[in-house]
Amino acid sequence: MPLITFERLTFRYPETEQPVIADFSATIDPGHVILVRGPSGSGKSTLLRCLNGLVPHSSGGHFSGRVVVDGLDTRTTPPRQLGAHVGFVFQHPDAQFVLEDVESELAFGLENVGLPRPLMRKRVEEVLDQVGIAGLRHRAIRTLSGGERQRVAIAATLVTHPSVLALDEPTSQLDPQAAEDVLHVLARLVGELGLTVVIAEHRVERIAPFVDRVFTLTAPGAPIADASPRVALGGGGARPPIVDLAVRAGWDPIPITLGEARRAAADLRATLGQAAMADRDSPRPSTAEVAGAAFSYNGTPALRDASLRLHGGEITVLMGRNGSGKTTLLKVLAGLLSPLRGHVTRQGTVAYVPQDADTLLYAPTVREEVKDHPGSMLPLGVADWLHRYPRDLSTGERQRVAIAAAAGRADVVLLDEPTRGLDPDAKRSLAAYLRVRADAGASILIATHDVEWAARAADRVALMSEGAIYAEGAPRTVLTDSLVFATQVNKLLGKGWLLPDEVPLPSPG
Amino acid sequence: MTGLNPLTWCAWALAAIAAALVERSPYLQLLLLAILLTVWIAARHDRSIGYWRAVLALGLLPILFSLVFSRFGTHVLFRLPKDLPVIGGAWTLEAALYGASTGAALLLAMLVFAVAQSTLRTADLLAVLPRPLYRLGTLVALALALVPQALASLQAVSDTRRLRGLRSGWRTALGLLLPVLLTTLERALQYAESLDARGFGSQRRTRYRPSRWGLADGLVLLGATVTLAATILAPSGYDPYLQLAPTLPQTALIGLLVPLSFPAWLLAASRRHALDHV
Amino acid sequence: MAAVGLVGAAAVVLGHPAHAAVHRAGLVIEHASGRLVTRCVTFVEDHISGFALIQRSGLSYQAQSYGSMGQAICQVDGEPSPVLANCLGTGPYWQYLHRAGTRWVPSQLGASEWILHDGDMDGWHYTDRAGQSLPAFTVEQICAPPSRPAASTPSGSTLQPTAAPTSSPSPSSSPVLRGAVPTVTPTPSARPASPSSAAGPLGVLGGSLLVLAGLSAWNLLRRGP
Repeated sequence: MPLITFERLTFRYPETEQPVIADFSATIDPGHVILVRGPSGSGKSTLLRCLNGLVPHSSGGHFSGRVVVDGLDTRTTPPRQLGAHVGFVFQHPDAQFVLEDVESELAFGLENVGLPRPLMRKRVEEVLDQVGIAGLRHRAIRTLSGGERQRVAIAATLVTHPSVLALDEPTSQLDPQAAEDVLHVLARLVGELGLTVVIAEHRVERIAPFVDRVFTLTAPGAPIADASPRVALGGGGARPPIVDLAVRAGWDPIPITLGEARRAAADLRATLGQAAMADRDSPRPSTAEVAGAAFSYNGTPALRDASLRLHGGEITVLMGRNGSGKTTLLKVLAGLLSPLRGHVTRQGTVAYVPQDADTLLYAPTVREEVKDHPGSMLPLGVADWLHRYPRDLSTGERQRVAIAAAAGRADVVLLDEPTRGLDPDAKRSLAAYLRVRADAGASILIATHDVEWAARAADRVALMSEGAIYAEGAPRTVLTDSLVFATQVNKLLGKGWLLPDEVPLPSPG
Repeated sequence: MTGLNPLTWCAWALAAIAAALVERSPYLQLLLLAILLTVWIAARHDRSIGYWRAVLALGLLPILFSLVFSRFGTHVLFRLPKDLPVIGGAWTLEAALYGASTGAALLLAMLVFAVAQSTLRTADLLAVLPRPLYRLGTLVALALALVPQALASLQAVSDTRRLRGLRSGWRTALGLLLPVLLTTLERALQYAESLDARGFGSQRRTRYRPSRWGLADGLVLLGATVTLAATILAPSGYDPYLQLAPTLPQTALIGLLVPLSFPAWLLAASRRHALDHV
Repeated sequence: MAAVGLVGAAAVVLGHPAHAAVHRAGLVIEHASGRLVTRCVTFVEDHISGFALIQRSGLSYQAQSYGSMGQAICQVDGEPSPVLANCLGTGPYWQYLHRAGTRWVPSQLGASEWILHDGDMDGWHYTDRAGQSLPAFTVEQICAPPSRPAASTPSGSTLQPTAAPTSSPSPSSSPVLRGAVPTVTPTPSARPASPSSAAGPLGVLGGSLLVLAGLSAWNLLRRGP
């Protein structure tokens, strides 16, 4: 007996011509984990919101077909009631909490369904243990880190014992460690409780190991493919680097996990030589430099003796765990903060694009946003959106507009976590744009957690911890043989190999 | 001794706001300021008012208004040519003091809100609302949650605008406010969806935290009632146009305002924290 | 918020005096001997100066011009006689007071600068001690048919607000900016502040502030800032 049924679901947002989901039918059995993947704007969120009734009740629009969850038809059941059956976790850790402290938040869903007090106490205690957040019980939510918040969000939905857990890109705003924690919790819940989980994610490599089926969306209105993980990932789209390598190498069956990949790659590892280090280009002129900078926020040190030098035409990636001081270093370089010690030198104009690009956009059209930099090279696609309202665009598109608006002409471009929430295509085009800017002479510094992207895009990588830079060099030097900062291919093959497309494969036959 | 019941704090806040807005004698305003600060120091924990600068500006606005629009009073600060339409003529000390009096009242009211925000949780407010007012309660909760966020993002926006090389000033205020407004609206929408997704409003709610009443509550309620009665029965005014120097209020009135500080006393004597209800 | 401010501003502007047919102001003179003279002056203008009040009161007076500061009153109703050469010497002089609510307030301006509206009252006291006051009067008492002015204690007497039933000159009709304040005159139960009786309230106020400060210090120490 399927838990969720989609019957010829077709949905179109109000005042649009194009349906986002067209004639989709599928069933989901209890205890299964479904991965929904696809580029930004392809309808992943919409599909998830069909599960708890936010589509169509909150969004409006034209809805035809049927979605039945746990025996309830979502057309006739409002989200308030579906909420007890479908737990929903949103993408942004800040946006989904109603109350101030953790315990109240957990109890909130229970109070709403009118459970008696003793039962509420019992459920709250249980979920604190299940999700492993017992220590956070009395904390104020705004003091929690992103990963802790998402775990609390999951717990808050679990208290009502829903049959389905729907998660809309829960780890995209988190750093890798926090993302690991959240997915770990999910894996445990699936294993122990037999929860049915429908999750939309870009970082497929983390999820792939415990997924039963994959829904692949390609564009709004296009047919949604429904296949097993191996088939879906092998077919293309967002997928872990090891699958890229596997497809190139022709391994069969396609490995989903690192363990499977190791077995399939045994021969390759034996015969593979060391990756060649790229020759260093002749040193470029330095365009910006921080030397020995120190900075504190209210007495808490954020930078301790941080030194970094940027060169023209070079893309430098700055990585480090949350709280290591990356954003502070960027702000010091940009001139937004003055260091207490040390000095900063800059040549030419400096532009800083913060994590939350929405704070930059305010004009009614994209054209207005970028008018300060006429004739500058626009990132891919921005030229097509000149007449559009910036806030109608998806996250990745807004990101690009923000970069064009703030950094269209700058000599030194500082980007703070630009890849958060971007789908692989957007990440690729961002890397391409930055490459063109760098070749035109700009110096680019990017703070990011995305190791795979850094391996591809960076000329140099700097690692930061506790306010100082402790490693710096070419990607192949820094990103290899590390547990935290190694790419998946590197974890698989070692020997300095970073990316799936650069590994030399033995010719067939 | 445990902390105070949220309804007690509500009653206290009511009495405090009434006193803040009604009592205009600068002496009483000073006393109220002392009382509110004392209670705030006793009741707050890690929450500091990040938006105090905006609040201060709000308090200064009435002074500006009064100075600009009022041409009355005998203590002239300076004169503008009479032919200027609204602002020509004498700008007087009386007008400034009148505005200051209003501004002080507003500031005191905001201080009461700050204390209430420190001690009242949204959960407490939602717990006491009757069913027809659920949606109204969510509006209040929304405002309480989003105003600090909005002000924080105002700071963020202004930071990044500096780096876009854009001047800040009156003309570019739109560029400052609009993204904050839009982001806040989007957040409000998400908040509403969150509430829906968690089942809020589908039926009558039960209470996770029991409602406890103690001696402390009684004392604070008594003090608040006394102050409220005093405020209603003996409001003190201050009209700089009639008389520049304020009158000293009666001893009794001064004394009757002091019970508003009872929460500070009780919290000082208790060993537990203001928010420990359970 | 802006709308409230604009309405309030409008109220401030519009709440100011309109024209009335006949206006009255009171004048109280106290000689060095303690003898009191009161006069009621009617006028049709919107306002008159304190100097004009004396001129129209019918009392004899002598004044000296002090240039931009206006007229200084050297003699009223025959006192002092003769007038000092430079008008104000080191001895007693005519102290100028205004009636405000239920109190007499020393004037900050000269007679030519001070403006009286309908229902206001001025007082002159010939003495060499500063900070003097005058007995309590109301304009109604002065302008009514002859009867002894009620010099009784102000606390119990019928304290009519000095704002006459006719148009109120003060900007008290700005309810929006004032919030919930029903009346803007000083509280009817306030005593006129004389130096001795200020000690009570001031003491209580000061004491309360000290106690509250101590309580805050205690709380701060206990919990940390």
